[in-house]
Amino acid sequence: MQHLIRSARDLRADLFRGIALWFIFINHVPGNWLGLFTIRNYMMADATEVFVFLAGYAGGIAYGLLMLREGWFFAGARVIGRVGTLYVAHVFLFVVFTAQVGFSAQALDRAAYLDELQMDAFGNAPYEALVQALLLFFQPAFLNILPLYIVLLAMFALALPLLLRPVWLLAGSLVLYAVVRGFGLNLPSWTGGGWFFNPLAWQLLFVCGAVIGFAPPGRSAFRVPWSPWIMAACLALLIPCGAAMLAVWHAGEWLAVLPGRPWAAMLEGVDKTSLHPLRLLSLLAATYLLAHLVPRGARWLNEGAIARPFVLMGQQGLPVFCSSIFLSFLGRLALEQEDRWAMQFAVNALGFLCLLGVAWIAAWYGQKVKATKAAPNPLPSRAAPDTA
Amino acid sequence: MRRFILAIVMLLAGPVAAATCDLPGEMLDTAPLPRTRDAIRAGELRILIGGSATAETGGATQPYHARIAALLTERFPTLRVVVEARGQRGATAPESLALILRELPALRPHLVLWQTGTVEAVRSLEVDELSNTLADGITRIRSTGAEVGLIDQQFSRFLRANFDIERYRDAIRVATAAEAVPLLRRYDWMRYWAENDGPDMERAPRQDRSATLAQLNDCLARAIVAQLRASGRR
Repeated sequence: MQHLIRSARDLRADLFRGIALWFIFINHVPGNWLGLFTIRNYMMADATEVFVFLAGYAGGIAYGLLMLREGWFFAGARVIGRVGTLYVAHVFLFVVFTAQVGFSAQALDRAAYLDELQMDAFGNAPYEALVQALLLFFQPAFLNILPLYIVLLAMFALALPLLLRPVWLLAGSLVLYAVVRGFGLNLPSWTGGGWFFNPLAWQLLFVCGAVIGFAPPGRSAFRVPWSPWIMAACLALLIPCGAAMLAVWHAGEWLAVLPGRPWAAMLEGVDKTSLHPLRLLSLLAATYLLAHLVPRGARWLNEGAIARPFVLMGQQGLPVFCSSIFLSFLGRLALEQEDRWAMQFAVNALGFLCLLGVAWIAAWYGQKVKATKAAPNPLPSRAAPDTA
Repeated sequence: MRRFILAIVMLLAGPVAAATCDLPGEMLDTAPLPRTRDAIRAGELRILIGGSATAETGGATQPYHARIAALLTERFPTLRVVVEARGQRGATAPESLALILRELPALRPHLVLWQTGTVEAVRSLEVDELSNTLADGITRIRSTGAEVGLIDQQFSRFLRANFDIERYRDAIRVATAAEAVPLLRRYDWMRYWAENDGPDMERAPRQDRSATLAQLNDCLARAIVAQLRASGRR
């Protein structure tokens, strides 16, 4: 497996992206026991935040360098090409999801029991739902990360030149975020309200990643130096937030006796749709700690048996992500039939192995393509690294 | 085979097979309901249940709110019990809140049980919208002097497999913790029953459905009464 890992890059980002992809699979299978251990249980930011942040990071590296070499238009076209791929993947997953709902409704014959299920938007108006899904205004359950990512990348294609002026980029992004949150703006959703993940707010997380990732030659990338004070501030944010979340899930009575009930009331206001500042700060604080505590060249990243599968998965982000959403459909159908420990084990073991298999094949294929391209043509390949 | 025997036993025993409704103690919430306790002591308790269609009819001849009244009368023979339910097919949280608020002046309940969150999940509505409605609704109901409890979603493997139910459950859990109101964990209860040979609508053979539904409503009513007594003791 090791020879498939591209080691001339920051493997820490790959590792955490691989773990995030695995968590996304787990969290997309409700009723999965492992769901009790993913970061959403004790951190304000969950796997989606990690995924978007690291997508920005990888995008900053790959498309930033491509823009320096080939210009904005070329790099922008490459990003838009990526958007097209993601869109097709989303439409495919939408079709699979719709088939899944139809299949399990038919196989289990339970429409008569849960009256609320009659409110299912697709069942009521399938033609309209299809059009709205193609426009991304209809996002059924579990299909809301790709639409977010599609819009983020499209915006990124336009904002690419600002990578050279990171302060402007960050300032503009922050202003947009503040305006969107202040006025409650969001893209419209067909079923009412706005998008589940509001791209106009989430762009800030992507931009933070891109600014940290982008390192033009001769200039060092944006870094926050190590300081015990910053570390203390990060812990002062992460520990109480984590404790409050654990208390809500496992010890609600403790919160009830606290005077003024500050923690629970605070948690109630922490929205996910428009990326509440605490979510953003939690993710940045965790990134700061991990970036300084895990040394960049740590040998276990490349050679450790535990880290290796995740690094490989993280390096093949797009195929692994799409497969994880697809596999989660199958996992849900399996747990719908039977959810005791044997099935739990089967779903998780098979799910993980399939994700790893997809990453392995994608990496192997990528290497082969590169090798065959390089063989007849002595010119160096200009292909940008994979960046999903 | 065990299920088959159980089905036969259930048919013979009729809808009120109390043993299958038992719940472990930790599935009852600990938030107190002092006003409800005082009302029971004073001899008259008025409860209003608001939600989507299942709140009012439960899809059965005897909906669970009628069972609650019967069980409370059985437990407290001298108590005057009024349990009213208002439901509307496919009602979202703001809509069921409107139903509740409309009834408050006439009924003046001591306790409002607000059953919500399923329609939101099925229609993938905004989670934050649900959170805001819950916080606002609890405050408004309380301002009339009534106590509030939230009843969360039904457990269903179909619902769990096809809709992102966890996020909406989280919203309800956080709202109850934040507002210090009891959470009536219908989802956990129903899952527990389904996994422990209690009523399980999704595995019941077609001919047993109405008996199972009656049993489910009975179990729900028992669990709600157990929750009210647990909250009343605090």
